[in-house]
Amino acid sequence: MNIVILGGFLGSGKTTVLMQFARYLVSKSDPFGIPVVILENEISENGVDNQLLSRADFTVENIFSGCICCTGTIQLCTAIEQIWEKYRPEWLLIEATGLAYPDDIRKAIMDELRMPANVLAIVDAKRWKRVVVALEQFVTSQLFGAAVVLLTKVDLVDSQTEEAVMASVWNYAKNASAYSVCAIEPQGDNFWEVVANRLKES
Amino acid sequence: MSKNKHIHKQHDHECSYGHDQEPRCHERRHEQASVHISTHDGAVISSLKCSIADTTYDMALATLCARLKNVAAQIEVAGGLIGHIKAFAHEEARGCMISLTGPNDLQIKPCISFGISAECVCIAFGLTEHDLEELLKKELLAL
Repeated sequence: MNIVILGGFLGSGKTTVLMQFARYLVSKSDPFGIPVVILENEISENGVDNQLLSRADFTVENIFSGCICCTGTIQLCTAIEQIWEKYRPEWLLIEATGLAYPDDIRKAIMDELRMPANVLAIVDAKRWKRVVVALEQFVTSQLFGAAVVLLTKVDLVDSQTEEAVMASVWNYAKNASAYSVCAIEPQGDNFWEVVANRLKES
Repeated sequence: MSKNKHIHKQHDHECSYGHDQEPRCHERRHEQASVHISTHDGAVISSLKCSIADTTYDMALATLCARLKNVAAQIEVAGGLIGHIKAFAHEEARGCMISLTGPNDLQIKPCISFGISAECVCIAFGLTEHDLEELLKKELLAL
């Protein structure tokens, strides 16, 4: 089971990327198996993203009302074990809350379950500058240990801003492969194949 | 009025909490039933359910979007930073109550309601729990 943790600040576009990536993985999979399970973590009492994902016909499991990078580690590991027992998926995509430190989740999975996982970090090109000013330590720590960084909403900024954000992101995720993506022009299979391979090999 | 029947600021009802608790704490429990508030790493996390009735889906959606924009604007005016504001809205439609008191007396009471129900989540930085709660109550629970 390939485990991917999608991290990134609130509103950065994690769910949009998750849906595109999951659709690609499903389209390339064995029709008789369960290729992808999504584990959705929301810090709020009500889930919003899970309703969208469930209606899009993905297999979704949920952990609400807490963050799996800190207080919910035991719940997370139990959920992963149950998902493996129940579905035996090829991929497990964990969407972290926008307040989580994805590398802490990766370490918890490795320490508790001896399962390798990789971080796919999402950065909102439009809001990066503002959130870095307000919450630098927090948002930059969310990039730590990422194997792949995707810069989203690049259609909402000019090319100069996109380059500046990409350069800034590189400072905090030096070992990551970084790409720009845009929700209004979904990426093709070739792009997701590169991302999937990078996440497998890390 | 029975022991547990009592009046709050905006409503009265039969209450199961009992009256041996401090009144303010008691009121707070009622508030939390409408807007759930918690904090995490400096962020204030709120969630609530609301509905807009007796109108078309499009009109209700436009109202909800306008109110959510108001919430966003007021967080910024107050000097806060919006983490995200999300809502999952769905149309209310036909429903019914099914009632039985025996195998042969099934009753169905249909009801048709128009409008939408929404589950909303608002996460913000730089605001107090109280301020965010009051803002959401004003904009979304007063619909």
